[in-house]
Amino acid sequence: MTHRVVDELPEQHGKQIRRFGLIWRIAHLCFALSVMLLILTGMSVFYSETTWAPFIMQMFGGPKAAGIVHRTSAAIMLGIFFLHLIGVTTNIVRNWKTFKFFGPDSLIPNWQDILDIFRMFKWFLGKGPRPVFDRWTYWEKFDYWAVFWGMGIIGSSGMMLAFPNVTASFLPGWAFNVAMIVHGEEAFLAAVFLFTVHFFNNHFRPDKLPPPDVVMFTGSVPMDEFKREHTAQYNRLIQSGDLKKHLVDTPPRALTLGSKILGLTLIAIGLTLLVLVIIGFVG
Amino acid sequence: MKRIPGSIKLVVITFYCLAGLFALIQTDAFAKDASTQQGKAQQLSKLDNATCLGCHELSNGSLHVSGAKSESGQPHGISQEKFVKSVHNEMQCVTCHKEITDASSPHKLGPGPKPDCVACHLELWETAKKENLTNEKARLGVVVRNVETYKNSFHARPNADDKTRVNAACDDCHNTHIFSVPPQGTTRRTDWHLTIPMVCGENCHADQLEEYAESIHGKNVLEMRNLKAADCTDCHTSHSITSTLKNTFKLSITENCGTCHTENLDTYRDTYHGQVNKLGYGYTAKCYDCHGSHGILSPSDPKSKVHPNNRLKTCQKCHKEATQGFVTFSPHANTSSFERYPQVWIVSRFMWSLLAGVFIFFWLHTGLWWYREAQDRKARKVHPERRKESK
Ligand code: HEC
Ligand code: HEC
Ligand code: HEC
Ligand code: HEC
Ligand code: HEC
Ligand code: HEC
Ligand code: HEC
Ligand code: HEC
Repeated sequence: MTHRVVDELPEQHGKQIRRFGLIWRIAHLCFALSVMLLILTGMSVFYSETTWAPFIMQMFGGPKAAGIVHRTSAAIMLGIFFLHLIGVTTNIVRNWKTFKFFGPDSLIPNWQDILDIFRMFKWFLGKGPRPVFDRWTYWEKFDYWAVFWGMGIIGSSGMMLAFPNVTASFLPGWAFNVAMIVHGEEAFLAAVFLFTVHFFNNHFRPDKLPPPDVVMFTGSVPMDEFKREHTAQYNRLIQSGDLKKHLVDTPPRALTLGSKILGLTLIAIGLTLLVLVIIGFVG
Repeated sequence: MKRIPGSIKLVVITFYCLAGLFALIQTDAFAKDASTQQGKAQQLSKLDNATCLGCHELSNGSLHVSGAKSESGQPHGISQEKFVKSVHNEMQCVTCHKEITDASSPHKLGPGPKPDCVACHLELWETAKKENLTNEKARLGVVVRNVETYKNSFHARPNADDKTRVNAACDDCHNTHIFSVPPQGTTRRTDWHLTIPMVCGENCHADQLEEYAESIHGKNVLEMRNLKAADCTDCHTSHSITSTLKNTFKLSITENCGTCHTENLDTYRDTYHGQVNKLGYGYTAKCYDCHGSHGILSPSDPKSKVHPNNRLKTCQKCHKEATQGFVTFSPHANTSSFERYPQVWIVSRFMWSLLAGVFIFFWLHTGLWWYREAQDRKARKVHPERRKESK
């Protein structure tokens, strides 16, 4: 049945499926840029004993200036995060009656995600077919919630270090020792996760080659890719007849090209940062 | 007697007189010649080391010579016993003292230059290099290296009060005449090394020596003869001493403490203070900002600057608004000692397990995914129809 509908669908020339609205894309770009600046300035302190770190420090004009960059980037990041929280909350409140917390359009993990993980591993081991996904795959949900965790942990420990006197007014001194460790280790986790796992899932999988995947900059994906990567959602939309609601014009060539350049640049920076972190970790 | 004409007589007399005079002049000239030769021989023997030491030997007591310099300007005596053991024992006094050309007292200083360790040793090293003797005379290379580092040091700069002098010349620290570097590991070496605080402190840096003598390092070195504790040169180096206001000092001093206190250096490097210092900036707390420099005491000593009672004041030098809570921060916390730093121990274990968990899961996920997806693509290339099927 599904099969038939798919084939029947008129080829949507000049159309793509929209996945991310403009605000989300801007937020993602700001996140990407600020997190890279945070990693660069932070890691050159964390790995101060490497040969590259002093160069980066000089580039910024010393730890004081780098500290300002670090704090500004952190403020941007936290600002966006809180704006996003407000946006999401109002959205949920407004749609309180209809919002399905565990529905396919929600980012909240559900039972299906657990099953998907198992199915995915089965497929990896050649013991089952490739699972199909709805709007949000479990690894995308992980990416989303990892930011919450990161914000909570890195953000709060960072605030403790940024305002030592406030911290010391209600916490003992060892809180700084703990905050230092938590801040550094969690930042390491974030950096390495982003530049290995996140990059792989979205840009370096065999199916995604050659990089970059520009959906986060253009906001939409070609139909065949959508069908392949979010088959369950596709089928759902076909059945409910809502697919049309998600169709948008194929982005202009200039936007796609610009997005590709931007994407490749960010990937290059990210991989460079990864190399620096690895040098620091090993050396 | 036959009558000789008076004119002939005159000639003869004149002849004899002239001859006599000539002879007289001759002997006089000979005598003079002999006496100069004898004088030369005398002078030569007078300029050997024995002659010089005849007056300058230490055991003679101070030289009291009328017309000589005032009491305070009297040269120090030289111990022959030590001179013959010194590195320059095979040399003549006058090889170095080119300005001394007589053995009288006071000397009439000649035009020759005063001895200069640097010039002479640079030349020696050049010669050694030309003759390919750098291996045999490696120690001369050490001297030259020390000269090189010394030249950039604070001590080689002109003295603020007396511009004609440097702050400290080689011979201010090294007694040229008894300078010997005993071999490593001998008690003589130990004795020699233990004199360093005195060498630095006696004439020039009395205040620092006094404070140092009371410190844990000073007590160890001066009283317990513990060579493992820091003397002046362990912290300051001997020849590349820099002004303590310079950034290079603020960076190198930390490393110098760390040569002995390796663990404390490592833990210091894990704090923001130490990281900034490592990056080449000297404005955060360095070891001596917290511990002091010459008066370092054990942290359990109530007078120590990092004793819990005094710590707040120490931190407040820079952290003006620091509170008592702030100062219980441990500048040397490590992740390996549960007894000393339990919170740090627990949190670090938690973070490591978190990291390990996340990476094990996701890298496994990534690796397998890569493999499977690549396999599938290969299969699709071989059987393109499968792709349609799978749709
Ligand atoms: C007769 C005793 C006597 C003998 C021999 C003697 N000295 Fe002196 N020397 C003195 C006295 C006295 C002074 C201090 C007065 C002065 O500065 O001339 C002095 C001073 C010196 C000084 C310091 C000069 C300065 O710049 O202030 C040197 C260097 C020196 N002697 C080297 C020698 C050498 C080398 C010899 C051997 C060739 C030697 N002396 C032999 C008596 C002697
Ligand atoms: C390796 C070179 C060297 C040799 C050999 C040497 N001296 Fe000196 N001597 C020096 C230097 C360097 C000084 C310090 C000069 C100065 O400060 O201007 C000095 C200083 C002196 C002074 C002045 C000391 C004072 O306290 O003011 C005397 C006296 C003296 N030497 C005597 C001797 C005698 C005697 C001998 C031989 C036994 C001798 N020296 C051998 C290098 C040498
Ligand atoms: C006029 C030349 C001259 C002057 C001035 C001089 N030296 Fe020397 N020095 C020598 C000679 C020659 C040797 C022996 C070289 C050899 O062993 O072949 C020597 C040896 C040494 C050595 C020992 C090297 C070894 O083989 O272990 C040291 C250290 C040294 N000098 C330090 C000094 C210091 C410090 C001064 C100044 C206070 C000084 N010298 C001044 C000529 C000089
Ligand atoms: C501020 C004092 C000071 C001055 C100035 C100074 N030295 Fe030294 N020097 C020392 C001390 C202290 C040591 C012993 C270092 C040690 O034991 O590690 C030393 C050791 C040496 C050694 C032996 C090094 C070794 O590895 O065994 C030589 C050679 C030497 N100095 C040469 C010189 C020469 C040449 C000059 C002048 C250019 C000079 N020094 C100036 C303090 C000084
Ligand atoms: C444990 C390391 C250490 C030892 C040992 C040490 N110093 Fe220092 N010294 C320092 C430090 C650090 C400073 C700079 C900080 C300061 O001003 O207190 C300094 C500064 C100085 C200064 C500059 C003026 C001043 O007081 O700030 C002099 C002079 C000095 N030291 C001489 C000495 C002498 C002489 C000795 C041996 C008796 C000595 N030092 C031993 C670490 C040390
Ligand atoms: C911010 C201040 C601070 C700095 C910077 C600092 N220390 Fe300490 N140090 C302390 C305090 C406080 C203690 C007391 C022990 C504790 O609470 O951990 C201490 C203890 C020590 C001890 C005693 C042994 C021990 O671990 O308890 C040594 C040795 C020591 N420090 C050396 C150093 C050295 C070397 C450096 C520089 C590399 C340095 N310290 C930097 C504050 C500091
Ligand atoms: C040459 C080696 C050496 C150097 C350099 C050195 N120290 Fe020490 N230090 C020692 C020794 C040895 C002791 C004595 C340890 C003992 O008695 O337990 C000591 C003791 C101490 C103590 C007391 C430790 C305790 O547990 O009571 C402190 C604090 C200290 N040093 C700090 C410093 C600082 C800060 C510097 C640099 C400015 C420095 N040291 C440089 C060797 C060194
Ligand atoms: C020589 C000055 C100096 C001394 C003394 C000093 N500090 Fe610091 N410390 C700094 C500087 C500068 C910073 C960096 C502050 C910044 O950039 O926010 C810093 C940062 C810190 C931080 C990290 C806070 C943050 O913002 O990340 C802690 C914790 C700290 N110091 C504790 C201490 C304690 C505890 C003492 C006393 C035992 C002490 N410091 C003594 C200069 C000093």
